[in-house]
Amino acid sequence: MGAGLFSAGASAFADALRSSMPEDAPETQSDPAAKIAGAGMGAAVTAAEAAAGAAGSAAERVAPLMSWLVNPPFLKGAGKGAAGAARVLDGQWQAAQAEAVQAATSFLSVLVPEIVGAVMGQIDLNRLVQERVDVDAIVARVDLDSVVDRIDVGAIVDKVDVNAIVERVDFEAVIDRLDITAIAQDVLDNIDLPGIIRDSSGAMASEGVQDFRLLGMGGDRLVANVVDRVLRRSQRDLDGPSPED
Amino acid sequence: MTTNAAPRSSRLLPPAAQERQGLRAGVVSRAAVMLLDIFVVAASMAVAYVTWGGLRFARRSASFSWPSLSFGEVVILFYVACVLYLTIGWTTAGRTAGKRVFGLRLVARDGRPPALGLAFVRALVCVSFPLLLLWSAVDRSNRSVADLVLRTSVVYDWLARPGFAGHAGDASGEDALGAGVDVAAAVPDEPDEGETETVAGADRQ
Repeated sequence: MGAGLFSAGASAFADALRSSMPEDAPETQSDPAAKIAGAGMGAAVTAAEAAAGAAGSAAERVAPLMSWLVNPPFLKGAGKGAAGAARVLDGQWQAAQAEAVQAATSFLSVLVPEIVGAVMGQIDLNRLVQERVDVDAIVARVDLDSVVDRIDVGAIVDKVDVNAIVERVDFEAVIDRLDITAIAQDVLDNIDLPGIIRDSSGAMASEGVQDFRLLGMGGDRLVANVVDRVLRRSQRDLDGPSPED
Repeated sequence: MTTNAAPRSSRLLPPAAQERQGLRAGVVSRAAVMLLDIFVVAASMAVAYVTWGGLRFARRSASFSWPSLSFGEVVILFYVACVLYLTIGWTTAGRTAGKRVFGLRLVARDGRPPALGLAFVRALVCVSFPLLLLWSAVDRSNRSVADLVLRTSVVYDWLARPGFAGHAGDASGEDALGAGVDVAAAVPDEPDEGETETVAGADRQ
């Protein structure tokens, strides 16, 4: 898996190398970059497999590497031996690449969520948002009216089964928690019920004689107007005394 | 009671009554009240007379005859009955039966029903000189001679309790508690006292 990781990195590295090559470079000279990278990766794969105690077939793949490493001509910069060894290693890398990439992919698919989870666990996102994000500015840019306009509240309400909700409410429990007696007592203390009953009964009882009273009031006003007109007076001062005077 | 009794009470009244609540009443209402009160006292005396006759019949049915009273005695009894009737009605609730029917109330300078002595003196004046009431038609503040002399007022008050709502403020609840009911009790009670006088006077004869 480590080799796979390296192989992925090596591919990216080779791509980078290739892209950094001059445009006018010959086709044959652009390949060595990939080949060298591939060779490096092949060596890494082989070394990893050897370190892991791979079987004899792996050992066979190591042999060219070893010979390549200890080959004096390579050390002296001779091109032929090195090129040949590189080709061999590159071929091995090409063969192992698919498997290595798959392993790396599966490894990453497991590792990345773990890492992300661990990182997220370490970050206080709320504090981060509070410190870094200007929520007010964001909200100011949101056209809430248009959002609200797009919401069909009626349809939402239609979907709500109020009866079902009400059925689930334990009203008896709510009532049990209310001190109805105290509430009723408080209300009675505040409304002066005896006074209301006394006054209303007085007012109601007078309904039968309302006509009499209104007739008397009208007569009072009529006589007063006539007398005042005869005596050429202005209006009368009829304010009676009040209890607090 | 509560301090907000008066404003609350006035809301119970019809608009026409709310406008006039607490204002001094005119001569028409007061004259009508006087006639009604006279009728009430006269009717009470008639009832007392019939009751007295019934008692005589129960005691001596064989030699039964209706009690006989001279005109002067009737006048005196009527005078006394009226004074008692007005005094009790005015001092308890500021109103007699007639004032209750017409929604009037007698109040002293403090806006409360008059004390016993004041009510008695006013009753004497009103029964002795009933026509002085007519001055209220001329007076600028609808006061009769008795009102001017004794500094009392007769106001519109449709509420059952004294402490009218025309002037928002403290309803005089504590001294008037149950007074609205007492009026009704006072009206039938009073003729009984007249009846007692009648019986006592008759026994002397």
